[in-house]
Amino acid sequence: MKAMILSDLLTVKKYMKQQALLYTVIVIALSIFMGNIYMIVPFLGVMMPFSLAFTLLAYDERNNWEQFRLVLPLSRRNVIAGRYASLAIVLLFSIVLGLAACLIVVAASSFMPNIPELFGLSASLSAQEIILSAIAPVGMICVMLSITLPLIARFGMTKAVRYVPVFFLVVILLGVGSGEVFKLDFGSFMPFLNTVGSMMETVAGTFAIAGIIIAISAVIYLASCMLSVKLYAKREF
Amino acid sequence: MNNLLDIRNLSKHYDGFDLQNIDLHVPAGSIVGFVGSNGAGKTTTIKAVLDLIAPDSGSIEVFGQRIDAHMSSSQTVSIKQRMGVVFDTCSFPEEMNVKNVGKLMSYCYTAWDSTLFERYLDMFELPRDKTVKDLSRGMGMKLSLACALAHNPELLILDEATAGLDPLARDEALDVLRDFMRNERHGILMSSHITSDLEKIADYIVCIDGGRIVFSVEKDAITDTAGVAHCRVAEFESLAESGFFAPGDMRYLRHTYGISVLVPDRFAFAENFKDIALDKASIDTYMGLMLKGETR
Repeated sequence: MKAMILSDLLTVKKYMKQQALLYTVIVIALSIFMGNIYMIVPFLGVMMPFSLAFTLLAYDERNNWEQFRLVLPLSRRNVIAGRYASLAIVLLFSIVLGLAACLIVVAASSFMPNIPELFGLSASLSAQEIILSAIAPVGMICVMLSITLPLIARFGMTKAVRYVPVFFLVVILLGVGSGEVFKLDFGSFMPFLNTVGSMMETVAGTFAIAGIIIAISAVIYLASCMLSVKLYAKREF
Repeated sequence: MNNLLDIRNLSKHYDGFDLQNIDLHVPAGSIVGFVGSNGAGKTTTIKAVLDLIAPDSGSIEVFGQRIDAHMSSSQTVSIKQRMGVVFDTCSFPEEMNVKNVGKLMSYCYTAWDSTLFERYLDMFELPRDKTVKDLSRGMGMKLSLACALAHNPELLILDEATAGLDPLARDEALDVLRDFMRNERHGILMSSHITSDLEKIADYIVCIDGGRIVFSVEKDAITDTAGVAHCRVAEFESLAESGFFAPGDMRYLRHTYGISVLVPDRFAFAENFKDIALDKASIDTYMGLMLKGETR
């Protein structure tokens, strides 16, 4: 698995540096312009893993690398597990980068208090919102990759890109129409949502919600990895 | 003699193509040249050996261990540790440079020898900081060969590995392969269209056509013993009736100005038919007569 992680990180190293710099500059500028520091971590935490994931998947199909990789002493299980691990590392890096960018903005605002747009960003900084902004990309990316990667493991990137948008569209339509389709009473979720809302009023409660989201995302991601291993084991090249 | 690779009755069905009852063996200490036209089944056979596709029937044993769906992944990995593979293109990720390719290989192979890898890089004059996408075809092939050899494999599988190399680069590659074969426990399965390379280096020639093995002979039986007789029509008829060939064994090809006949033993033929023009056989002419020739 180490070989696969190394292979992925060496492949995207150059792009990761370029995107880290470019996206950080863009999102800091955007956050100052829009007066919203909480968009920094989700922006980086979604954009970087999303684009680097598809960069890696595209490189798999160039140069016959995906086929040649399997003649190396790497099991198919390790190829898949390594890919999931390297994308998790990219996600973690992006979130840390996002938090660092937030710190830069906060530090800049304290050194330049006479710039109202900058000062406004840190004046009403909320720890709960920073935590939630860091957790949001974890949930989003984990769910996105958990759906996309098994399709790619089974069909390859070129074929899977035809099915991925359809799959997401079905999920969204089911979500929007679930009240009609599954006869759901959304009012029955109110007590649960009220509980979540009251937990988010404290830092400890926010951490607890963050922990739950991370745990659920991790379970979904692991289940997706196991499915991808099974699908990849049968694939012919 | 131990066989490093044993393929028995291998079959695989695709729409429009069938690999049927393929038998192929690579004895230790031998180079087996695998020839055939485009689409004959060479790469399909090699993919089955490398576990990239699952055969429909038959058996494949590498280093005495059977490769099939029941084999554990750790067993498959341990077999691959002892094999080196080179495809017809340099298949590493384009953005990696030569040095990082070596680093990646060191993580893959437990027996990776970085000193040996560096020696190959110097021998092939490969710049460490050049990315795979900036390597010429010949340099890419040399990098692939360096990676295949630098973990001291026992079996090399080369699928059109010298295609696209200039003659000097091919000779260089063949020298490296000869050096690899100094160890009698090593073996090579080499598919190639460049039959002149196989004439220089192979011990056995296996020919595949339309998914079936057409012939499997020692290379010397072709180049050192066989011949091609060039007959006029009258000579051909008297040759056919002479009894020199067993019924059904005579292979011939009609041309505009004569008939070529494949002769298994050109020395015996020359003694019996002094007036018929005779040439040494090459792998190309032998293949041509076996694949396209008529029989009598």
